Amino acid sequence: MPMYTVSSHSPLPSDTREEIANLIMNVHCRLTGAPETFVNVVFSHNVPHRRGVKMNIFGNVRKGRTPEMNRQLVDALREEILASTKYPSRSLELTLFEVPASWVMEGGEVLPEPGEEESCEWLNTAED
Amino acid sequence: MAKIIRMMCTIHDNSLTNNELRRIEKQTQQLYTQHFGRHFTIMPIWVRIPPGQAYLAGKPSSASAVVIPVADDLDNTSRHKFMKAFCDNWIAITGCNKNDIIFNAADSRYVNKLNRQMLSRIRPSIRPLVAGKLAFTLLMSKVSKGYLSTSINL
Repeated sequence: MPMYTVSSHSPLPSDTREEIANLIMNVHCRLTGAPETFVNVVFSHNVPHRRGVKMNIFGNVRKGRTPEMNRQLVDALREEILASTKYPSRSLELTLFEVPASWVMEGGEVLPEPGEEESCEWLNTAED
Repeated sequence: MAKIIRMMCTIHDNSLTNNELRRIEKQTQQLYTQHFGRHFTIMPIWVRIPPGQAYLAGKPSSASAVVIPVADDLDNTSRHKFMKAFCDNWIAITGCNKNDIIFNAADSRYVNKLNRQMLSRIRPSIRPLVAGKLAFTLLMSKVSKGYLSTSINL
């Protein structure tokens, strides 16, 4: 967590997938302070979006950040993905969906609340 | 009549054997019954990710992600006991690293909202067609393999 699902109509080339996965990770971590080890990105194709939409990004993120922080995250992700893909603005849909950290287990531990990552034993071990 | 609990398991292609899938299905049913009572039937749906379509920390990922709804407003003590038991069970069956299982035991209303959001990606006029195709794919996999399975690619 976060878990971002990137869906498109046609399959994206592997270098594009890798680029988008890294871009999402970098923006997410830069703005939220979350560790990179948390960031999952999966790709799905053959998704028939609304007319004019080329890509949909659905981000499951931990609850607990301010609406302003989430808005900044959406704006930054949109800006960088549009710059990378050269898609027109209206062809990208991007939504965040918040889930309480206490509902998710990763690395055998319940996820820490946003900003409390230092308490996460799994994370400290994983980064060694 | 038992309430159906949809268990969505996103796994990598060929990461689990049929035997492992069946054991996870069976033991998750047992776990759910132990933790929440007999009035529930787990319906596992296996969503396969082809190679190269998942990343963790910017690198190819081998992690599986599972979402199982639980009662709304369940206290965290009960929720966390179930989460721990589920992950321990998954690791014991698959032999995977503890970092390779991400488990979300979410309130039912959250899961319903999540499913609606995921569906909203799809053009409204095509949704019935997509739902029909998905149902057919799941049915065919149940007949041919013995479990409900589909690809992350629609």
